Amino acid sequence: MTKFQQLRELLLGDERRALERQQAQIDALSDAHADLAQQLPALIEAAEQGPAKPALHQALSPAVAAALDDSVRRAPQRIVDALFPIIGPAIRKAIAEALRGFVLDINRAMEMSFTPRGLRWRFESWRSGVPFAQVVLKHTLSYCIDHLFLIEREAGILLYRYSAPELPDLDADAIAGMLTAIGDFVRDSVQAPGGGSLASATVGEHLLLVREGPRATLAAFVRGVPPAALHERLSQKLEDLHRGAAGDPGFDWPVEAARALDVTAALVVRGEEQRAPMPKWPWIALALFLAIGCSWLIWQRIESGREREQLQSIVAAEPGWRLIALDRNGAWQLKLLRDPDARSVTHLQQQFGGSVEVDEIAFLSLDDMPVARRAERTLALPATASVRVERGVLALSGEVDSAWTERYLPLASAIAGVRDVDTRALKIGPTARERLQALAEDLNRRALRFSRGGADVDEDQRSALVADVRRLVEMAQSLEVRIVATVTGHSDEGGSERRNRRLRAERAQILHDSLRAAGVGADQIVIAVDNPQALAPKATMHWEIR
Amino acid sequence: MSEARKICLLGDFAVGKSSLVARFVRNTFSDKYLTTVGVKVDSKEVRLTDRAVKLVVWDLAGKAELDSLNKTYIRGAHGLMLVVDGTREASLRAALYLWMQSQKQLAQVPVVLMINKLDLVDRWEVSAADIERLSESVPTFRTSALSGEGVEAAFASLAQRVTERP
Repeated sequence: MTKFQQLRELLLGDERRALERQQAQIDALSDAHADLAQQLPALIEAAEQGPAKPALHQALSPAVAAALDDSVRRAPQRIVDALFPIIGPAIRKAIAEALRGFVLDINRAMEMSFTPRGLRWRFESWRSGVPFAQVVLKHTLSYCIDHLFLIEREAGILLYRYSAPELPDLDADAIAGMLTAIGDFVRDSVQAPGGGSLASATVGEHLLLVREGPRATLAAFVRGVPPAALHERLSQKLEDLHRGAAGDPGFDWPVEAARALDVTAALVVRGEEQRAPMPKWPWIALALFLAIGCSWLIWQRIESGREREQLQSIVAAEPGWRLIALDRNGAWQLKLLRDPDARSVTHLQQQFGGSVEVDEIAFLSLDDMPVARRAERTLALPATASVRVERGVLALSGEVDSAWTERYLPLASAIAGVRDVDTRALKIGPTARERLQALAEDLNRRALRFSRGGADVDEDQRSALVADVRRLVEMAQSLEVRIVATVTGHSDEGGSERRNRRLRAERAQILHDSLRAAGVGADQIVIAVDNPQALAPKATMHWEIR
Repeated sequence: MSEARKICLLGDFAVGKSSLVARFVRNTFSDKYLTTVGVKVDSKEVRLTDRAVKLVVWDLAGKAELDSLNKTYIRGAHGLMLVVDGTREASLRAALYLWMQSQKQLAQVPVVLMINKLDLVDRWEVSAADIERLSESVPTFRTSALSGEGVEAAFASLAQRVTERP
């Protein structure tokens, strides 16, 4: 070492060694910095496994959040691309869940639309102004959770169980295992992309709801019709449990599940809207309706029976009618044998209104009344005679003339239904022509008497004569014979011949006028030639029957 | 509530698994699930010396190997029960193959081997020497589903072992 070097060592040796140490440190730091990029993943991984894990998370969180924020602002497309495979299925799943609930509610509303209960709810909706779907939801919130199982996802071990207290015990562990196995079976069978799973199944009145999480599955056996909100609530509870387990390695699933799901179960059970007992009034109304209906039917039957008996008795009591058939097809339909000489059915139809239709078949009856009518019609009885039939015996009474007797009496015993003829009460009188002749002769013997020396006549006398002449005219008309009267006026011995001639003419004219007043035609009266023979103050007539 | 442990019964078809389960547990579900879903689950509480444990027994439909569904079913099992038909030597090989397959999912879970059909011991194809060798590595029980012999002991042994694991 030269003296210069020795001197420099003496003066600057300490500083040089310090510089060398610092340089060595700088070199060591440089080397360490150069290897840091390679060592960082291993260091972080080691920190994640060691006790420094919470500190590492705490240290990295602000930086990661800031970096993420910065990256979103600077290159949003990269974030979108990275999240797309995750966010797409997540959105689709959320929409599917929401739609499922919505469709469930719509289906329920549609199912309820055309039932009596649905119509009642429609009325309630109309009355209250609340939408029908909401009314349906309000009334269909009747459900009860019978069993609630929280099952360890992988092994199928039961972590927690709630069962309604009134239900019998069951092998919950075996059921949890089978549910897991069936879920695996369904998943394996369907092989749905994205890890689909059994979400619900319906067995009788029970609905099985299954919500799967990464580490546990929640299965609920629900009786009744739960609202869509129950699905959401179960999912939420399961997510809460998983959230708690994620940050806690010592998470005690059974204990935490008991705490969370006991509350859920209690809430669910309390939240159950007890099905209101069915009001009694519909049954009462139905019973009343049935009673009224039955009463009406019974009354109809009784009334119908009464009308039938009435019709049968009327027909049976009517002579000349025989009932063949009686049916009711809306109106009463009678099939009837009726004698043409019996009464018509008009009075029957008038009595029952338009509710009676009669089908008549003609026949000959042996009843007394139609036999009597038949006899009247056959025998052409004059007004002075009558018939009566009793038990087949035709009794003739009154007066008939000999011509009728000769013509009609032989027919009486031949009338259908007549067994015997009784003529004891029948009087056989003169014929009409004989009575006409007798009356004419009587009038020929009579005269219209006047006052002595005048043409005055007593009015009573004249009226009586006119009445008898009118009867003669009627008899002649009925017999269709022509009668002619010759009128003659007479005078007594007193007075002059000239005066007597005038009186005879006046008296003949007065009688002529009286006959005209009695209905005798002008061509039926002839005034005779004056007869001067003194007799009496009168006028006479002479009737001829031609 | 006692602690629950999942036990899976594996074995070839017709080795008597379901009969063993029927001997051991109260049947909650019908055997038809074995042919439909491929598994039937029952449970039974086993009293050990110091505690009670509930065994949830998954009786898998008999197969010589595990398919994808069966692999799903054995997931999370705390113990395995291998069932062999003593009269069929092939069923022993099937059981061991099933065990080997399950090891990919269930590392180090307790296993018990049941050589079934002890009532037909005179027709057994599985030799006593093989059973002795097996019993050195896995607890082995001679059982009869018909008489019930050995069944309770096998399940109790497995229950004891699964409860010893954390």
